[in-house]
Amino acid sequence: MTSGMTSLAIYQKEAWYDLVSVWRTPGFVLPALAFPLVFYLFFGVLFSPSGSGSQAAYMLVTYSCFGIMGPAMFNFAMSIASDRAQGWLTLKRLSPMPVSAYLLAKMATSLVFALLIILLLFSAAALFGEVRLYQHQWLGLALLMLLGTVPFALIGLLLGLTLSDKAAPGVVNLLYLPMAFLSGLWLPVTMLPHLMQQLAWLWPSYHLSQLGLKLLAMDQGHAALLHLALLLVTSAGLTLLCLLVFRRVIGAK
Amino acid sequence: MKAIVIIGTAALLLMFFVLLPQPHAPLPASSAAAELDSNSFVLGPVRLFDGEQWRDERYIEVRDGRVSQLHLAKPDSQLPLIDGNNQWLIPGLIDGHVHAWGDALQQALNFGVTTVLDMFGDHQFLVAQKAARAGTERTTQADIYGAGTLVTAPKGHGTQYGMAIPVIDAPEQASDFVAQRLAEGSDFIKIVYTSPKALQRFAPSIDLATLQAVITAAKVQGVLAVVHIADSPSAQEAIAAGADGLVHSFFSAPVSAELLQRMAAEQRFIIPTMTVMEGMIVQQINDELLLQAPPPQLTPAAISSLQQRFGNGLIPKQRYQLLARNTEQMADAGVLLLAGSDAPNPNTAHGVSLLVEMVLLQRAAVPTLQVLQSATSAPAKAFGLTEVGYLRSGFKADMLLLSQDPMQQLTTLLQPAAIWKNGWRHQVKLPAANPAISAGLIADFANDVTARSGALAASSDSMMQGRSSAEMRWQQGVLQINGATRPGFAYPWAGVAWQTADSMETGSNFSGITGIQFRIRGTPGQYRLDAFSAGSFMPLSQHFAVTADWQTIEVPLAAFNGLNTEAVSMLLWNGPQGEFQFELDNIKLL
Repeated sequence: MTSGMTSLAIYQKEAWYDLVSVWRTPGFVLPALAFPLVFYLFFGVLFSPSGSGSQAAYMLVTYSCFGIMGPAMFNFAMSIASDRAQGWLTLKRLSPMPVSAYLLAKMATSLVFALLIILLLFSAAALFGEVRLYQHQWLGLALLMLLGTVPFALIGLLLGLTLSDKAAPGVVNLLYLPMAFLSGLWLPVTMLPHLMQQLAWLWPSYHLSQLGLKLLAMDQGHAALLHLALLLVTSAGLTLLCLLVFRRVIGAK
Repeated sequence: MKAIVIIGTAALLLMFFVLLPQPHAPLPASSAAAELDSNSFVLGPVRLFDGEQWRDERYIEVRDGRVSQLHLAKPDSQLPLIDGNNQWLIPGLIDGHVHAWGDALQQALNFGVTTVLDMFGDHQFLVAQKAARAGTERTTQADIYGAGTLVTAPKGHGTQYGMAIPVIDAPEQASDFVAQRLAEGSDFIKIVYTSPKALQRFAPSIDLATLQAVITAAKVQGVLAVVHIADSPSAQEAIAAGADGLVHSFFSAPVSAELLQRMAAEQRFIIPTMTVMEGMIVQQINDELLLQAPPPQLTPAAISSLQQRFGNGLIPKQRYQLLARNTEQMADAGVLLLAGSDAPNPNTAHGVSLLVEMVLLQRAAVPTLQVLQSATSAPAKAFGLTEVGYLRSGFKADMLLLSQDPMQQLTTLLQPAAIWKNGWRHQVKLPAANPAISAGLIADFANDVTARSGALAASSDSMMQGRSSAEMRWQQGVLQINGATRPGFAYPWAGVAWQTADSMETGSNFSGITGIQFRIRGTPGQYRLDAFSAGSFMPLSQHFAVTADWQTIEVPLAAFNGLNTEAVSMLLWNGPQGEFQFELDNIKLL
């Protein structure tokens, strides 16, 4: 066995066990999967005018976005905060495993959950919501949402590195839910008061959902590149912050 | 084993996405506005001004050329979607004061003016064009509502244009006079009035009793009566007499508090027509906004008209400040302001000058929202138009898409991103460049009277009911003109005209020409060579003396100060006063 394969195995094992440990936490799995699905069925399908797939399609994008944000933010923020508190992070850093394996494992778990949510919501949309999209739109939306987990994972990482394990769940909720609402993920952004519509520009979730809606020609009509650029800038900024905070955390230990 | 799981998962995922349902009908793909060939569609997202206010709705649904509904979000609809790119959508503009003939309505639409209110013109033209306005057929011209023939005194303002029009001189005739106008197809009644108290009276006017009688007759017969005034006392008396609106403002005096209060309280309106007055006083706005880099839609004739000035130029510049102040006070007091250009008078052209007027209103400190209303909902309200002026359910889908926010940058109106008329996307047809004319011989009359370009013909003011006359004939290699110049028409003329191109509307491009040379002899006296720019009926003149002996005369083109050399439509050789005979030969361009 070459050392390269060994390290690949480390990455795989860490990812697998992270996923298993999360999977065995029903308190995480159930809300992560059920909330977006139930909300979507409720607001996107049941309340949607009959015979019209357009509201169901619009809401599919926004609730997918809402769905993928959750696991990314929660998995990073809560488990890193508790790993720090319980000394696991220190132990893992002492082991030969690279830190990147630890972070990528969390990312992989977030992606798996994101994929599950996408599968659930797409199925609900197709079966109950009469949503009919072209293959490139279905696939494009799925890929966009998977990639879109990155900024939220970074937000989770930042919170996990800075918050105590007791504060983390509360703070994440405090950020997650208002951010979803103010980005127009629950109700179309055009139904929000004018000031809130303008504030929506602050949130990465707004830009991600607008990109998704653009695939369906249902967005507000701003340039895709603008949304993309803002998402990239936000992600870059968050990465930088995480690096700074991570150094401080290591230094303190 | 692991590999099987991975491959299995991937296969399942693939199957999932393959099985996801696809639409049967093609999705309404967002199409470029220009490609759509229908007057039913959804346009959005846009910022939408409905004629009265900015709306929260972002999408407009148009069916069969009419606004069917506004939507907050993209409606679920089979209609094609036009991408509004978050640009600004406003109703097609209404020019509240024009005089339309020829291609005026086409020129107007090319600038996004989708409706015009004609304040005096040929009633036959009005009737011919009126029919189109009821429907939403595809068209290349603006809708017209009009006064038809105006109401004026014998020899009053309105009679000087050479068109024989009926006049009124006593109150008893009012009822019949109004009835005749309505029978001819007038939509409303326009009256010309100058008070005896006015400091300047340019032409005879009907008296106050007749004014009152005509306004009353109009009301009895169920139409609006609007009044042309040029000074403060006339405005006061017209409003007191019950006029629904004034079709000009004035700069003779500051507007009185009493008039302001009355006009606001009784909902009378005013069309200040600042652009045409700017042309009498300041003469800068067209150079600033338009002529540095003329918009491509402007025809050469329109450019000539924008460059043309009212003769005297003696009115002190402060008068324009007074006019602007009056306008501001009227807006402040809540008087309904309507934007109107008075095109195609000097300093104006159809379509484009309404945009200039809106800029002038804004510069007179009228709030921008009110400026936008002045060319949309305000004229609709004032004239009771139920088809245009708003983007609301049931109104015509006459719309302008603007690439900038007009509240921030009003001049974005000069280059609308798209124009819709009756829900059809209007493609602006740019005027063709004028054919350039080269130097050299135009006509030597060796065999006949033909010219190298255009044609020669006798011309006199008899065509405008004047008393002059002219005849031309070819004789032994020269052109002989017999005629007489007699007073009668305001600008008497008699002689021979060379129309430089097949079309008087475009003329020829004289940019490469420095002067005109010709041989002439005839009844001795002071002769006159008139040059006309396309679109202008006001000649520029050069005088020269003629004797009984042949002489060669050269007139430099530069002598015609103000001539639009890119569009010279006609040169006119006029004989002297009284009876004359002259011979013309060897006309050359230098």
